[in-house]
Amino acid sequence: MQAVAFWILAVAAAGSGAAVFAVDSMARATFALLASFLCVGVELLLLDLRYLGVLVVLMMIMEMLVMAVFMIMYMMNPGGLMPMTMVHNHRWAIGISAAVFAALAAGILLIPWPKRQGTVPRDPAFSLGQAIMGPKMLVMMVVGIAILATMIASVVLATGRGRYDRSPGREDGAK
Amino acid sequence: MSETTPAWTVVALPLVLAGLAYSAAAMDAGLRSGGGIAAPLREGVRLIVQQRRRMHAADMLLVRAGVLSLPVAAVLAAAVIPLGRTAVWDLRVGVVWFNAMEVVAWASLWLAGWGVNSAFPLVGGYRLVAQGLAYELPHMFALITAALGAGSLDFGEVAAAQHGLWFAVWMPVAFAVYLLSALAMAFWGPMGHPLADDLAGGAAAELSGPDRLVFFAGRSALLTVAAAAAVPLFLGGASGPWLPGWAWSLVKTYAVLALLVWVRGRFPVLRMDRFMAAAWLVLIPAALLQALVVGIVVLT
Amino acid sequence: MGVRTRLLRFAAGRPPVFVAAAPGGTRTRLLVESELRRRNGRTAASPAAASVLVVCGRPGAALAEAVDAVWDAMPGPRALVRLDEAASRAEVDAGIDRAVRELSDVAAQQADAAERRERGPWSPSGMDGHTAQSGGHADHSGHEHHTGLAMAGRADDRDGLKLDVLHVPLGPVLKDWPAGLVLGLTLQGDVVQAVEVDVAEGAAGGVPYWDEPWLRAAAGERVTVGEAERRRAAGHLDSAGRLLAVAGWEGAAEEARLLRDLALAGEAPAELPARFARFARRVKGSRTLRWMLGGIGRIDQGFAGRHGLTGPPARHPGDVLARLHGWLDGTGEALVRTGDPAPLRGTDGPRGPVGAMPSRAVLALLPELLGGAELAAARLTVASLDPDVEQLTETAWTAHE
Repeated sequence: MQAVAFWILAVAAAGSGAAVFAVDSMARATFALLASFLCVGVELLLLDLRYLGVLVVLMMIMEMLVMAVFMIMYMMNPGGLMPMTMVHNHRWAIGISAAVFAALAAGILLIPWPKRQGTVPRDPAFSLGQAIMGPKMLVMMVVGIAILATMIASVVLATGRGRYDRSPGREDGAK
Repeated sequence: MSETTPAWTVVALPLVLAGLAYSAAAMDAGLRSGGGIAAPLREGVRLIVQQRRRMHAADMLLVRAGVLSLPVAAVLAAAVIPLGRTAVWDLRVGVVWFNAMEVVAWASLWLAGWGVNSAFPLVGGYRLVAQGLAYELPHMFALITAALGAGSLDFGEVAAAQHGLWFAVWMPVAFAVYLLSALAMAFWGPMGHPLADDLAGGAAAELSGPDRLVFFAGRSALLTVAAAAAVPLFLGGASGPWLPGWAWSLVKTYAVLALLVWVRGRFPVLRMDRFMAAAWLVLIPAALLQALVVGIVVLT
Repeated sequence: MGVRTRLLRFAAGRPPVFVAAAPGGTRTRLLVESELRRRNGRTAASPAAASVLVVCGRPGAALAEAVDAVWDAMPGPRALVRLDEAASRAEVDAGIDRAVRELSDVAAQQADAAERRERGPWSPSGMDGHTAQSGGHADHSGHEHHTGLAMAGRADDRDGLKLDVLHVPLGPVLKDWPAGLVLGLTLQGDVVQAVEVDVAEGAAGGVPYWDEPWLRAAAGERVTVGEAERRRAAGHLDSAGRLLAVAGWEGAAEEARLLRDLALAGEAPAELPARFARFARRVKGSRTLRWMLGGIGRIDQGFAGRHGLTGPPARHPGDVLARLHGWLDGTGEALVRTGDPAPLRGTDGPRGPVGAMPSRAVLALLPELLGGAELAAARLTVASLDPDVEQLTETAWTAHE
């Protein structure tokens, strides 16, 4: 049952990934990519990596929407139905991606995977965090907050000159 | 654990959700135009027998994906919210899952707004993305604060951690932020700018027939789920005297839902070019401070 | 057959109505709105959301084309009600009743659907009127695309970006919008870059409804101050209701319209001033409204003078909020004098000196005022000035003199 679900999702992930390059609209390409990521997220859920799986679903939806807004703002056409392609430099692109794929696939097959020791922890995400950060946990958490504060502060600084309420001719704004 | 939730709950979940969403729509109709209990049914029949509009050069695949994903996201979000003490899907990171499913609505509205190839819905779709960027961070901090208070991302454990004192009482800022973002995630009332009348109905302006029905049913369901999640997060979950747990869950959900429905039409709509500043300059710091206070209390 | 008819009849019980008003049809629009309120009816924000289209007044050629496009955009089952500018309350009532009957008439709806199928799908080349439709399909400059739509052209944005440009018409058929006004917006994202003002006139001349008492008095008729002040109060409340609706405050907008209809009713009830005072306190006291309306659409004395602005917007310089407060204050003063039996003198109408077309100055300043505004702010700004296109039709009052 799980194996069937795994294969269906794997094929769907690869298929919608390929669809990114086959569809002719920016909006469809974005959401094909999102579908691919969502399949990967559910795969992680199947592997009992619940936190990571849910996080992938959450982050990818938000990320793709922000990306969609930017992409279409710069390169758009209303309705998104103008023929366009995500592929540039066709021949080289195919060559490079085929080589990268072959290298990665070979890696999977050639690496001597270690045998599992012990049992699956109750909360793999928690154990992973412990293993990576261990005694530096407090530092990492402070750094995390610092990064967030920096992001918020830079946005606040950037809003000093907003987009609205300025006539095109007036630099200082109509406010 | 998953083996304790019987299979029939999977069937019951959409039915319960539909019942709650219907009563939300009926309450709304009653408050606004005195339509009574049959008003949503009448509207539903009207839309089912209605022809679909022909729209020029619309990307119907994207429109349908957007419209259908609204009720689907609501059901998937509801799956992790306990009714009584059991949820259909007993996920240990349920709070994050709820958050992820509620963000699906951004994509839904954007797809529906973009796909119909019309200017007003397009602007409406963009408005929800802007709204999302404004409300999502304070909203996440509100969720994290409740989870921090309980030391768990599991709805059941968050509810169980509130015996004696509801989180709504000692985390008032987080609760207020949550209620505001509940309005925003269902683009309802003062947070309904993406569907506002100044855009002739915004993202939903061109939807008709069954598409429109599914869209607005999904929106009602999202509002219901947002209200239902407030119960285990801030209102003590299923705990309460005399009545069984599931009854308390329903009563509390109805109370929050009634409040959210009542708010509609009582306030002017919030425009994101104004609200964004307030969200980032006031709500995020306030929510962070609340998280800090809760963190200190939990540690000591 | 029986089931289908019964279902349709059930569904047609309280159909959402889309109201399209032509210049000259204001009186009819007010009747329709009050009749819909009596029936607990709903108004729809877009043609797609409506089952019934009510056309108030007789539209001129350009407006008729826009109304046809709206009618064409409505999904069946649907019904059309045309009410001319002289329609009585009974006619309005009968018209809506007929629409409800028509909606549940299976044979008529099937015939309508078959006729539409024959005409084939909508296409931009087949109909130019689509640009005038509310929420009209994006109309693009630039080169043609194979579907018949042109691709959006690009232009420099003042933030140093190169962004797509969209041409979006606002009006003439749009909810909570001055009848007959058409603004051709050039949008980049949701920011208005340029505005072209146009007017879609009504076919019927006639006296501008809101200025009528003053014009009648000027023509030598005996009109009391009380009657004129009732009209002024109602006019301001109509404008305020429209602005509140655009601001997304349904409850207050509905109350403003109810007060408007009370003020117009032959014998205004005694509690009207008190009820209005409560309403005005609530609107002025709303912090959210202050937050949302403050600082947008700002007009200072110099700007007003340059364009020859007169009437309430010139008396209350400032932002959208200041103009709303101006209307509320004006209504309060007018309501005090509704019983005054003195004969009316002077020409100071609800929108400024009647006969001098005060709305013309409003249309003239819109392009400069709206440049750089966000789309929602632009709509609020227009609603806060509420120009009356009825004043602009030359025939409207010269014919009367």
